[in-house]
Amino acid sequence: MKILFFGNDKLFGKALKTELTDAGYLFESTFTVDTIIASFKDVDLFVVDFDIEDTIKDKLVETIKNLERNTNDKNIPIIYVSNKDDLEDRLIAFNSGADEFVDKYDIKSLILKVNSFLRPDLIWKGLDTILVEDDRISAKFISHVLSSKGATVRHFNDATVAFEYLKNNTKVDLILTDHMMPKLTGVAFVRKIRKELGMKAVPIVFISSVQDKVEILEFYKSGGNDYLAKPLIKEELFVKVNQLLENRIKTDILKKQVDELEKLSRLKDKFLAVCSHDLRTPLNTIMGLSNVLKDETDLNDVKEYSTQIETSSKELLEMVNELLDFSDIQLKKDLVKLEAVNIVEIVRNSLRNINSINTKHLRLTFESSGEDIEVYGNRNMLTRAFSNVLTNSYKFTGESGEIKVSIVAIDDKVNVVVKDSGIGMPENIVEHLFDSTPDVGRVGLMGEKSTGLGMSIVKNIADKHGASIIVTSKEGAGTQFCFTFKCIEEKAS
Amino acid sequence: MIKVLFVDDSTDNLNLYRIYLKKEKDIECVFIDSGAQAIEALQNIKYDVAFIDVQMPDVNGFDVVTSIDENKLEVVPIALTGFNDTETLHKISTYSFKEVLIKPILKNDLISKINEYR
Repeated sequence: MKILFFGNDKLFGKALKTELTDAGYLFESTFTVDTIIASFKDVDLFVVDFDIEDTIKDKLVETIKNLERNTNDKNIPIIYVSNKDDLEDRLIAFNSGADEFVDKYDIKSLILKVNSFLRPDLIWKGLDTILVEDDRISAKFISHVLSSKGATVRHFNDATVAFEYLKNNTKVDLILTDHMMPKLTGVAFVRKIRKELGMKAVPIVFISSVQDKVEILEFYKSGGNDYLAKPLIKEELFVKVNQLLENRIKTDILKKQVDELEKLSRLKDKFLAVCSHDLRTPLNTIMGLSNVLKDETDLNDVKEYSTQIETSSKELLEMVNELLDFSDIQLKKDLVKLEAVNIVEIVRNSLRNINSINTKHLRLTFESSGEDIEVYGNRNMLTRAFSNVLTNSYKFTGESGEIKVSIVAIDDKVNVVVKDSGIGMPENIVEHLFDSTPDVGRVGLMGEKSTGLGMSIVKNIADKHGASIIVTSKEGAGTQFCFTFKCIEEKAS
Repeated sequence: MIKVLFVDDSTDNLNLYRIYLKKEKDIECVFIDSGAQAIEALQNIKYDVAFIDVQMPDVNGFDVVTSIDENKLEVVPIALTGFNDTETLHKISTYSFKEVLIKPILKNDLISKINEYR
């Protein structure tokens, strides 16, 4: 099924494309009205950006109306998306033929809406429901309605058995239960679920032929969310269950977003901790020395202080750069632009930079199985990653040591290996090497300091390139980083 | 002559204190960059004042001041810290530090503080 997005918000278009393609739809995007006319016949649903210029929007709305009028049999659903969700815009949208109006940032809800238009039979797909009903015919009927929309139904005749099952399986999306059952009544069953199992959030629907108001009230008091009267009506069952399940899905989406935000907020807290402590240390020196510098008369001392101030300033700058890089890569969800780049050239340049500061006279060697090996990548990011790894090798390798860089292309893969003869790392450091929790970095052999974020930046960049990293290290013997990238297939092969 | 000990894991900070005090002829200073070594040094030599950084890896400043209490050493312990949040300051106040200095510490402040304990 094909979905056409009309708008020029590239970022949103890209995000929408990812989500819809994942859900198995074909996706196309356009910003010309003519395309709409041309592809009207193959498109199953339109997503229209409401934030475009009014003149274009008017023309679009007019075009779609005309097309629909001319093809009587085809009523294509139109979903408007917008950054600002207000009543006035909604009215305009619905008056011009919208079937739905969704906030742009709520892309998951948008997908939900698309599914309900295009795959109504699968709107409850992936949801687990529990049905407790001792009447076979009702049970069969309910199971049929639920599974026809894609939900999984687990049926129990006896509430005590269902309760035992729930004890071990608390991840249930909906419970439907009869009330009048021999061993355990529905009301008692629901009380046990809510109190003993502490399952407060799962929606529960009572099914019963009871007509007595007081008893129905009892259903709600015990913790039920809704009540279906027997004889059952298919539409009523559908509407009530749908409302509860839609809430359930939305709650899940929100929960995921909250989790994600909490994670980011914790990261931010740690960031602040690093900033306040690590950045302070060099700053202390700078402030303290500049403070004594103005009263110092001995020229040698002045020289010593200003050298120290310079060193500390460099350290400070290095840390600030690292923090900025890290937030650029980790916190901003900006899409990385990947293009064909020559990895040999990038790695060689990074090594040259190390060579220019090589005051420890390390032996630096470089070899490659080819001169032009292309991968899809971002030049700046890859440069940052390799220079982080090489800088580390440099920092932790003693005088007259060695750093060997080799690039080997095998089939459709290319390995970039950086091997040093440095002090190596104990296992506990290797294990947490890529953790993105800013911590005090390991001090280099010459006393170089860092924020401890360098390696997690490397890992992040590798992830964004779909590359793997294998680190092997032996204390006292050295460390090896092996990156594996997928190369761009050569046209000849 | 007053005998002062500085304990800080950052050698840069220690270097700064050394520069501050190198022209003060009547202040005798010792600089130590680890908590464990500080505990040992305090037991062997009598110091008048000890400036102790609280945030140090392994043996931290709180461990050092606890050892001073346990061994009933006659030294004035002063906490040094880079954090000025209430939580850290409260924690410091529950130990027997005489007072607390918040980094960055300037030359004149440090010297006048030492002179208070002469």
